[in-house]
Amino acid sequence: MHVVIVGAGEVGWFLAQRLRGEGLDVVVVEIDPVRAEALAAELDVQVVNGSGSSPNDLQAAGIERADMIAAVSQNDEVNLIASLLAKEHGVDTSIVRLETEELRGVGGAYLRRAVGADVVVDPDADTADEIYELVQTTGADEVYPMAAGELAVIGAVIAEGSPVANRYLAEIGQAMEPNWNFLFGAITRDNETIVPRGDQQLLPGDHVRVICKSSAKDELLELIGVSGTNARRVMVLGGGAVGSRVAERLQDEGADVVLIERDEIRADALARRLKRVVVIKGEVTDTELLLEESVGEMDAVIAATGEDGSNALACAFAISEGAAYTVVVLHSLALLPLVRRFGVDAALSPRTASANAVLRRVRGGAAVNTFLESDSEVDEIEIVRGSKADGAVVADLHLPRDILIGALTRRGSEAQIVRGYTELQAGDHIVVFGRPHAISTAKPIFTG
Amino acid sequence: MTDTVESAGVRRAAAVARRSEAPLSENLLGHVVGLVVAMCGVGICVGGIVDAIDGGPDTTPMLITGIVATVAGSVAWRSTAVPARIARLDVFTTVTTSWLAMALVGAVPYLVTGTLTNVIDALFESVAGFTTTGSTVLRPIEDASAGILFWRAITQWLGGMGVIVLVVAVLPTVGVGGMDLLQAEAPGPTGERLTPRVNQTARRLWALYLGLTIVLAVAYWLAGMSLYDAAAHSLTTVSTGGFSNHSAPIAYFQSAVIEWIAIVGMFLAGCSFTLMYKLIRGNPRPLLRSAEFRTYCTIVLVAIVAVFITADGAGYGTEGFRQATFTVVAIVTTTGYGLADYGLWSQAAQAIVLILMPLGAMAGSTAGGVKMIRVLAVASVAHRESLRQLHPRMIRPVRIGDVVLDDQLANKVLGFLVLALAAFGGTGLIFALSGADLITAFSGAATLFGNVGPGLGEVGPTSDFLNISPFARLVGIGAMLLGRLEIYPILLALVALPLHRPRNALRRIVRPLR
Repeated sequence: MHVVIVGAGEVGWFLAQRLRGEGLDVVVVEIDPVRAEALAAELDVQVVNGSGSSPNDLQAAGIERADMIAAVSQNDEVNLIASLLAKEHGVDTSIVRLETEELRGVGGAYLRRAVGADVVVDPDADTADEIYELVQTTGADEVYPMAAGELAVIGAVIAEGSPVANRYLAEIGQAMEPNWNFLFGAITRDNETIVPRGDQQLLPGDHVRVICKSSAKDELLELIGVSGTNARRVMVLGGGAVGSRVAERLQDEGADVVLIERDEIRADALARRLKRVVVIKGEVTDTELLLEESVGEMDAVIAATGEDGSNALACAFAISEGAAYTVVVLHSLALLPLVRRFGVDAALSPRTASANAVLRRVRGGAAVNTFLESDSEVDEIEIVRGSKADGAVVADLHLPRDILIGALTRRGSEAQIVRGYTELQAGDHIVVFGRPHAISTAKPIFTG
Repeated sequence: MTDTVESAGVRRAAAVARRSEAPLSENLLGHVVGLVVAMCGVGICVGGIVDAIDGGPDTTPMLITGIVATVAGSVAWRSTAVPARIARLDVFTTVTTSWLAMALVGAVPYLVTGTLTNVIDALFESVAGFTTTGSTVLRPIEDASAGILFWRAITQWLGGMGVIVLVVAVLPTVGVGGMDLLQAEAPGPTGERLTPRVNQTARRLWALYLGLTIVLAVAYWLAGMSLYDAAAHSLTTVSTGGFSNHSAPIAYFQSAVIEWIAIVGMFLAGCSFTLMYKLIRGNPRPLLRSAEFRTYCTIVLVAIVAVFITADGAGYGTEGFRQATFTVVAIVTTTGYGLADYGLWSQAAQAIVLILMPLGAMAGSTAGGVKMIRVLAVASVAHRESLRQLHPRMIRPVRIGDVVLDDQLANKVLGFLVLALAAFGGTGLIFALSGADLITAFSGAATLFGNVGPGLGEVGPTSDFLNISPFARLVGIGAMLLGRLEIYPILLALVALPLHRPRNALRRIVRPLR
């Protein structure tokens, strides 16, 4: 498979890395010569120094041989033109990053159709959505809705003294028989991710990713030992694309939101747009200001400026003042270990959010979620008629140990957690945990 | 304002061409005042014709006055031209001078027919007409001839939508700055264009106004008024003026249907004409979603219920409800028709009436007063400033509903309120000094400044403004004009006067600052 990526920004770079890892031929078109060179030096991909809106540059990238184009530069217009040119050359799938709300909405429908955009992604909107989900379930550090919201993958750290700490998964499972509400899908301990079986023991400090029925979310968090409350008082640091969107969604939910933005003009524009948000002009690292706005009294503090350092510092201060829950947006992963150490509850990155949407398309599957800071991911796969899995009992499939089927949704019945004796049928949507390459390898079992 | 070099060039060329064709002097003041006087003249003639049909005694003097005014005004109008670029200073002096000219011309018929013998009284009646206040010094009203009473109604109708707006509508072209002219007279801070061209906007507003007048007149007529009464009351209802041909305005007709028609008419006249225009063009959203309209409705409904409960007037049946509704709508829209004598109501109900007096209805309506939009703006400012105590470095715009009001405009609103308070307090004080009791003085000041009509006490709905001293009436004339033109134009005209001498050095300095 030949993929052309337009723009080697945060998203494009990460995508190139992931797709190359999947064994695809990747060509990246990047306008900035310095960045283009850096990318070529670091990854085993072809790099064309040029513009995504230039027919010649796209031809140099081999657009006529491509099966997919991912136009993910920061310029909406360039992305639209690249998609249009690609479709002219017979490219099957076009993924377009659009940041302008209007173009993604009803008003832009005609334009999107005209350029043949199959999938529209917006890293900032996706990040904002993830943060929003997190704040709705504070206590967790990751929340990914799956199967149209019926299921959710929740990431959290096992607390000291939680009912499940120091117990084996088989034991925990026994207590739930016969109706399981959740299943531990991946455990990260000492930077090592394990796909667990019943003989696995849970230790305090383990980071677990659990697939659960959405209705059982609170029950699960209680079991893990973190309280899941709905944040009512939220401070958002940074009024960029991510911060403003989170603030807007929280405001619409009725939360009291304080938003701090450095740029006066931007702060003014935000104050005009966000009616019930208290917009404050100031530096997010100005501790005086944070104290003035009683950062310690907040249910949640979200650091979403464009600078990782500022985000980390502001969060550290918020934690020291006693903020209940903190989320930090990191654009590069360099600071991740550090923020983990001083106790940030959740860290996320705009690039993974959008990469998930692209990966989903590459694999032809439904939902795909790549976890930050881990080499595992979770996929949603539809079982195809006539495949090996069609009509088989899970235990008989003899799946490799590094893959786990977590749950399934079947048309006409509610979502269920998959067990060894569960019988699979064609048309089932299953949620699979595992390392990306392991999932790719095992995929033919389900798709024939 | 998209002033491209090109369009400036085109304008200059056009101005040069005009100048070479007809050697008309470019004089905004002369042009507009001339046209205004001519319009008043036509109005006086209409009054004279009505008097002739009625067979009244005032036909000849009114027709002569009307024709003289029309001719004099037309001469000034035809011998001048609108400047290609209207200077800001000229706008305010022109509007203020036009209104003074109207007041003077409008007073002449009362004097020449002998209806009123005192110059101040004639001026008061004229200004109470044009400013749509509706306070009267005719005692009793029925003694005046049909022609004079009809002229009284016409003054309110002209003043309601605005004579300057009518002038802009009539002028074939208005140069740069035409919108300023419109805004200087329009009630409330609106200034939204319905069309790209100012004079078309003005034409649409007047067309809607005229249409509403005709519909209302037909409704009154069908409900049983005579054609003459229907026309006169329709003119004073849509202008929220409140003059009537009878001492007991609407109550005279003894008809619940007529009262309900008047309630609906007054309520509509209190709505923004810009938004109503959009409504009849099939777009009701701007009106229905407008925060000002919602506030207007809410205040009216709450006040009706409050007055209905507290009035102790006509009981708690349909009669009492209708009286409460009629009175509240008449006061909020600043029409000031008196149905019931609210001077006999409970103190609480009178207090509600007094509070409603200076409030006014929507901006862009024909109503007077402070207007709902300013109340909302000030409420938003107050909310912001109290929040600021909690969040000292907060940034927050002033909002009216979902619409953001520029800080500059918000400050202007605050400034207006301060000036309005000063004008109201000053007028009340002077009334009190001239011998009126406290209730009379301050309700009189509120009702005149708010362009409502009747006040409380000695100037209540069943009496007139002959009960205050002539000096107080003179001050009252000023209060009505300040209220109708919303202070700023008059204030700026006074500031501008010394700058107006030809080739004044100061003027050359001020002009580029525009």
